[in-house]
Amino acid sequence: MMAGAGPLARSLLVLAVAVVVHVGLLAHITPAGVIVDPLVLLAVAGGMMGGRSTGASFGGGCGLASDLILHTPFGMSLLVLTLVGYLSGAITEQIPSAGRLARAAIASLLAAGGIGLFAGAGWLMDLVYVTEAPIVRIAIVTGVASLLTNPLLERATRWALIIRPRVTASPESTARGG
Amino acid sequence: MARRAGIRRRTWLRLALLVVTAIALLTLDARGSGGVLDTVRGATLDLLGPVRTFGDWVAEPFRNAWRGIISYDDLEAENAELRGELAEAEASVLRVGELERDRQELLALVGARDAAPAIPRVTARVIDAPVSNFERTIELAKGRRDGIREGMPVESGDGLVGRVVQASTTRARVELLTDPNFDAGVRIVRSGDDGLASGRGPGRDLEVSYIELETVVIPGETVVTSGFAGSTFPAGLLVGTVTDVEPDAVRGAQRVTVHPAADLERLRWVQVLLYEPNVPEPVIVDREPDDGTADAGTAGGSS
Repeated sequence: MMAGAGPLARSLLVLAVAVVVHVGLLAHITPAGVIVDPLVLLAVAGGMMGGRSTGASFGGGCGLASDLILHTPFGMSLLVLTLVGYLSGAITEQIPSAGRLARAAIASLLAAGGIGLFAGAGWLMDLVYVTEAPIVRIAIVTGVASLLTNPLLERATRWALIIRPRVTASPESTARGG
Repeated sequence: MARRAGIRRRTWLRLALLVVTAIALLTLDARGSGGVLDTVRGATLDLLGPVRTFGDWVAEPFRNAWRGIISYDDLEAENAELRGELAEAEASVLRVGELERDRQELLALVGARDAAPAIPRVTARVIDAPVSNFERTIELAKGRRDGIREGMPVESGDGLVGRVVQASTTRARVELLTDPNFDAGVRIVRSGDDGLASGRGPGRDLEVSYIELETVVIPGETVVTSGFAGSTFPAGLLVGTVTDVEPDAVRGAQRVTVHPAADLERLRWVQVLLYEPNVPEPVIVDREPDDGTADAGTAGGSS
């Protein structure tokens, strides 16, 4: 049914599934006491697959979805995940020939960096409950989760953004819309 | 080349638009004028409520089994302790019941009205799993449909837990009393001195300020809400016990540290007090500027 849908509808579906998985499943599975946020991982995958421009938009969508379910200041996740999506795209464009494993490793670092960025935003906004959270532990677990799930997330974002396989860099030439 | 520059410009424009939108939303939220944002968040909370409840229902047996395995000895000791406390509480209930009957009889004798009628309460289950590592609130499986409103106090069997900060139709979010944004007027029971208790972050004790230097405060003393007119809390809710007292010469007051009575790490069921404060009505002054005879009067009572 979704085969003919555009990138916007597909992206919304992927985001909705991520939110349901987040609140219904991942909130209950806490490796090392950490909740893995699939929206951070998706923002990274979106940037890596779509490039900086599409990554910023897709990351923004992830951020907006995150803002709806969290109780942090509204707009904070939008800001952070927009930047995460953009930076993921910008960094991946520099290494277009990276293999699958290398891409997973890069995604892992970017996801961990995204947590750092969130903590930085929390520090700027003087949010004690963000800055006093075990940031390093959260970043490590998120990074590992990204490493393990990156192939699946790349598939999901590739489908959502209607990106042809094989071509992963130079987003504007590959992504239709987004 | 020109096409490339165009793409680059569009990318920057898109990024700037998203960043500006985020900053605008943050500003709206910070100014407290996020009525629409709160409504949308509330609707999302309602929409995802069944998913959360289902996830919690599925995960609970596994979670309990795991807790049982890793902390069996602790649970056994806690169980024995709770049995002792229950026996004491049952005896107290009998005594309190008798005292309450005596009080009601005395009130009836002197023809006085009960000044502190019982506040209705709603018991609500705490959804066990927060959705974020940066969550500072807990979620309750009841909301506006059950009479819960923003600002209402929340208690566990042990003491004050916090206040409701968001209430949607079927869900409510509670800000814990350890939250840095939390503050409440409190009273040190023995001395009767009033102060302001503020949260200092998860896992930390509260700090009570504005306690005069002359007041003798001893660790172990009980601290309750003071219930000043307009306060979001009624008087007499147990907050915690004093753990430390330090003179603050600069402020000319003492800094009192209070350990919360409620165990905030293990909340399963809480009670929301359906309490809405008696906010003093605004004083309306009738001005009759010309003849000078009219008294400035008040058209509203203050409590």
